[in-house]
Amino acid sequence: MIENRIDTTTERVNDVTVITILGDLNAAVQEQVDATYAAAIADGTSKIVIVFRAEDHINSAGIGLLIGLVMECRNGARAVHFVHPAEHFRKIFDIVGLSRYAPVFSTLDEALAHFA
Amino acid sequence: MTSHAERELERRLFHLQALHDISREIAPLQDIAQILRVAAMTLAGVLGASTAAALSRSADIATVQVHFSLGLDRDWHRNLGEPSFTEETFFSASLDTPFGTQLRQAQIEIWMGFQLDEGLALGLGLGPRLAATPYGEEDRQLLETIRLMVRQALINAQLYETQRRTNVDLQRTNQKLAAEVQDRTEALSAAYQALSDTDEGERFIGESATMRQVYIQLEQVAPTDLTALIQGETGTGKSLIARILHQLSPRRDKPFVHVNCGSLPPNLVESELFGHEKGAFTGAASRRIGKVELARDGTLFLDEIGDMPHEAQVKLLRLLEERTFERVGGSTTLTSQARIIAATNRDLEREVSAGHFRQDLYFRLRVFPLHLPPLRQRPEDIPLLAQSAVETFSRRLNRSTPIIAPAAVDFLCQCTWPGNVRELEHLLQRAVLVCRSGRIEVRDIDAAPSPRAEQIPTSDFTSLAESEKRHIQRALEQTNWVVFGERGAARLLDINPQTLRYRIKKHGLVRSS
Repeated sequence: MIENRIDTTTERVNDVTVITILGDLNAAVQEQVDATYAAAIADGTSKIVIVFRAEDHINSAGIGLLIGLVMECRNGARAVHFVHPAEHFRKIFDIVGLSRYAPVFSTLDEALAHFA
Repeated sequence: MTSHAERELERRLFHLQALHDISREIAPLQDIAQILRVAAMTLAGVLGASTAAALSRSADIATVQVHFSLGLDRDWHRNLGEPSFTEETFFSASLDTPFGTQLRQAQIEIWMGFQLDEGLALGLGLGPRLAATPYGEEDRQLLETIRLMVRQALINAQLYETQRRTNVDLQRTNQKLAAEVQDRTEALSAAYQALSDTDEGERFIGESATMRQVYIQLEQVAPTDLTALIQGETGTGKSLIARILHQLSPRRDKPFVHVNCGSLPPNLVESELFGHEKGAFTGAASRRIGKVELARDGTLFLDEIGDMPHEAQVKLLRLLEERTFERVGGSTTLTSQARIIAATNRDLEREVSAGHFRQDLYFRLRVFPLHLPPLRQRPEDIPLLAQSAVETFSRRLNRSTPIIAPAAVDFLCQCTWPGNVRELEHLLQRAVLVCRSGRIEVRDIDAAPSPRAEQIPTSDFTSLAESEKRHIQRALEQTNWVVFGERGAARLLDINPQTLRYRIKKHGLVRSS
């Protein structure tokens, strides 16, 4: 498994919980992502935005990880949006069908506006 | 390029990237569960599967174990019944078996199996795609490629695990053996210490291969009740070895009784060993307890056993065979549980041949023979022995320990030492006294036995042929000119009788009238 570690920040914008992930997303960070998600939903939030940076890479295991997260949100009746500034990853989200369940935006403002 | 073509290109690039990703992700993994987890996540990601799962079933655990599940209920696999783990990737829709039906009921659309060594079976399954399009043959082929990569990683992990278990077993065995060695070393050290405490300066010293062999034999025989026969030239340390044997044995807290058979008048040997009753003979004013009784359930050390009178040999044989004896002049049969250790500087086999020692007693004694090498056969031990002796004598004389000059050490190593360690010690005792300026030089040991090169006086030097002639003559005289048989000269010289006959003729040897 690729050695990796991410940094995450969680903030509240109105009734939306915004999780920002700093770093590459792959199988090695599954526990960190799961823990961040569990902490973020502890207050009962029903709207989540997950934000990535343009320079950070998401490999296929990372996509699988996000699929798990999206399915979890669906099971918990939570809506989730993704923000990725890189068009390449927005296309990937589209190809694998992730965007059908979680809309993908290029900026946080767009994602928040979509929730409003 | 049309947007559809662009999208198709993007998809294919993503698949290629996925092959690269999974090889990078799983290559360093050595744990089967981790490989399954990463593989399931990657498969779900590359094909956009809404659910994914990884299962295993080992030969010793009949039940199926879930290693990873994504988007599935906790108990989803319970409806699977008996999974198939055949080596392939297939659509559940194409499987017309109960397992295929069960996969479809669990909404698993693609399944891949792995069969590893030791009966380990593994499976990975994917649920419906997130995208609107269903899985196609191209997807199945991509998954089959990934399956082969995952399979190799699983095989490597299994080999690694087997190797790891073997290493753990070896480490445990190694630790166990190291602990045993430690125990034995401590026991040996304790024995040496005990000896040093009771007899200052008397320790067995030697790191040579021949002495290590002796130590191994000591460790083998010490914990047993076996009778041991220690053989070696005068001064090689037979008494010390006997005491070490006792100290290393479970009898270490019991008596150790030393009897020097060679120093006792022949008429008193029996009384000394077995005791006597009052009035048993002239001068027996009271009952006397013999050494055998004193030894009780300890160790009876019979030094110089080769000098034991014939009558006493008979009684000793009975003691060894039946563990019983009577005091001289007594009628009560007593028993003894003492362990017998005997020692001699004589060639007992030759003594038996010459009729001086009972053969049956000899066989009874040499149950475990220990041979102590003469010092000349282990010259590499001389520096250590010399240093130890000098330290001991200096301590006794309350003097600072002198150093032994390298030339003096070389000189000591060249000597033949017919008196062995005892002779070396006596010599160095004198050297400690006469040396000056805290340094023992060659001049301080000028009373040493002649070095090997000087030992053979040139005036008496005879040719090899002459020596052989004299040697054969001596053997023939000793055997009364009997050549063949057990008591013949050929046996004595350890050569073929026909060869001996040829050499008698060659040297012109004739029996004198």
